[in-house]
Amino acid sequence: MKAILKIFIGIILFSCSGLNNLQAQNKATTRVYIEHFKNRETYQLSVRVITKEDKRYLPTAGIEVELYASEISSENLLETVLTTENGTATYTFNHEQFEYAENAEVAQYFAVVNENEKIKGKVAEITIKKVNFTIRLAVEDSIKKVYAYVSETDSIGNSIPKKGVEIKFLVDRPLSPLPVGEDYNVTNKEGRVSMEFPDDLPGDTEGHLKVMVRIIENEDYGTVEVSEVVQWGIPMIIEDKASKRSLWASSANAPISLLIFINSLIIAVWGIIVYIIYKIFQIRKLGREQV
Amino acid sequence: MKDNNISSNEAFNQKVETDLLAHLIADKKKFNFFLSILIAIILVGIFAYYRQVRYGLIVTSMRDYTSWGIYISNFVFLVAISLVGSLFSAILKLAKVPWSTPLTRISEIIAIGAIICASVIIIVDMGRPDRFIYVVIHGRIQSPIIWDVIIISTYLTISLLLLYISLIPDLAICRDKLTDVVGWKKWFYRVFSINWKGTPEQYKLLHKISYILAVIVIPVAFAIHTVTSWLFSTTWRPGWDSTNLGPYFVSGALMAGAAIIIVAMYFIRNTLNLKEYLTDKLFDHMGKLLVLLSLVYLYFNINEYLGPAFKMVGVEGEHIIELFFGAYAPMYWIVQIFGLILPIVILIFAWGRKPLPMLIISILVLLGAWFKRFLIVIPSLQHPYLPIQDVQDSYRHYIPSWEEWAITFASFAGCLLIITFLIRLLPVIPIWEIQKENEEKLQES
Repeated sequence: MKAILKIFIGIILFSCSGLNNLQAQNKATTRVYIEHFKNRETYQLSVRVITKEDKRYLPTAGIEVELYASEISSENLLETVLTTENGTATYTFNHEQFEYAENAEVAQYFAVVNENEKIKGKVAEITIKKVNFTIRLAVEDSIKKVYAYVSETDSIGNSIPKKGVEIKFLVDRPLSPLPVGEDYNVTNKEGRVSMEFPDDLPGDTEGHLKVMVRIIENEDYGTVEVSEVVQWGIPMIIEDKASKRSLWASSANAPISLLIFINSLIIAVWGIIVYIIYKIFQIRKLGREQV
Repeated sequence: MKDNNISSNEAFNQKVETDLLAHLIADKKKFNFFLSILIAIILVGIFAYYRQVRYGLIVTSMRDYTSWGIYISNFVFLVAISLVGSLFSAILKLAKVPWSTPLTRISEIIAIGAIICASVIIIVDMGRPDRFIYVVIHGRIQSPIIWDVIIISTYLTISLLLLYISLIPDLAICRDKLTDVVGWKKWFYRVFSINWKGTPEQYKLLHKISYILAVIVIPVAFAIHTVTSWLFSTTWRPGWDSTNLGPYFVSGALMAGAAIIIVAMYFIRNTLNLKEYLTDKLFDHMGKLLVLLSLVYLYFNINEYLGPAFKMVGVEGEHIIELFFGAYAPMYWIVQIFGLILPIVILIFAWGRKPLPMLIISILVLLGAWFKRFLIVIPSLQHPYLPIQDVQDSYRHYIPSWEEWAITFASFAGCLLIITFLIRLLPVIPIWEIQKENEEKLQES
């Protein structure tokens, strides 16, 4: 009898565990990606969350992602962010966290998506090493050149050049940065790489350009950016079309000829209308005199 | 002989007054029934408009590409109809076409009804009607939309004056003869007949200002529809990028105007028993006029489509293919055949210019005219020069929502309501002009 009871309970427990498995299977598989970005003023963590729907991974909005530094514990929580429609969220470090990131030789960050009734939980981590990334802008024989230098500092303070780091040269533009130079640039054994800067890029009204040099999504350093403003662009002459008299200007700057033409027509036609109304009153007056 | 003429003239005058004032004191049952139908249609339209204001233009089928739907095609149609006032009160009058006299008042009334409803429908098309005032305050004189606002208000004013000035002697007749009407009507006839006594001085002034108005209304009427066409031709879309658009619109408007006069003539003649004034001969004249105007419109139609169809350049060619062979082809060919070709063919024959065939043909012309405006507005908007990308399917098509139809029908009902009300209030055929013409005939004889 006991044996039968054990088998019965066993079947029930197995069934329940199957149900749990089924529920777990119904939850969407989650993937989390974390990226690190650094420039002179900012440290940022960017996360991207995608979940599996109909055999495809799609960006998922409204997912809470907890961001941690060093280890996953409540005291190391940097911030909890919410993903947008394209499944991404970005967090910019505050002053205290900035100090931590600046001083850490190796910094570790975690992005945690907790399991809920719809999705499975997932953790992503990224480890960032401290890097010395500098640029130099120079004009040599009338050729504008941008030099980038990548190195690490060892435990006794020596600078060790880093070979084979991929670098992108960019110029800041209104919508997104414009790549300049070769598509593929890597540092040599001295940790250096250079490019010839084009002469024909328009700058601001005084010819200023913001030259941006990036290590992009490097597995040791993440994305690191160094930039400098330099007067290497062609000064842009902004024609203030709105303040000149034209068909596309504001109402205050309508062409004089158009103003004269339209207002003459309006005055002529409405003048006649007023004259006719005056004559109607004259007809009325004539009738009254007749009475 | 002279005494005979005087007594015959007096008898004629008496008869004209009796005939043409009869409907102003007749039984109101039919009128009230018709009025209640119109008011019901308008109320449905008001409810639809309430929904549009409450929920926004999303209740319509207009989207980013088809941003001008049947509201604008209806606006163009109503502006076109309003041109009829200038056709009869100015063009035919200045050309001294004698048979047009009984039709001047009807045409002026229709012009006022149409232009008021056109003004309303353009505000209905605005997503935020409360901001209409900004058009006046911040309007740019360089914009054809501002030209349209100016010209519509000017044309409405001139149309009102045109109707009123020719009415003054008739209002005096109403004041003197209709002593049994309700109080407000008495007041209306008394005040608006402005002490008219029919003195030579008053007539002299009346003729002078009528003549001035008749001259001035022609350029204003041509301008109103030309400016409406410029709303399209200054926008860079296939089918609109044409220098032909101004005369194309004006000729189409005059044709639609003649058709609506025939429809109005038919119903007024039968419901108000005015067969003696709106004669078969008058229908015959109108038929000939409609043929002439249709031929002019046909000429501009050929001009409008032949060039782009011959070249078939890019999106312009796609637009033509869509009209000739695509989704809009059935509507396009029905409009061209039944709304233009067939009326010309039938009206060439004398039997086609009898009242009933004329009514049917004119209704076909009017339906054709409305759908023609639809074909001018919608397919062009669905073929922008930049490709349509990454949009919902509803952005690619346009089938008007019930709210749009309800508001459109309400605008027709509103136009008919104004016309019916004015016909009920005023002599529909100018009494004094008929009397004057008879007097002149007698003097000549």
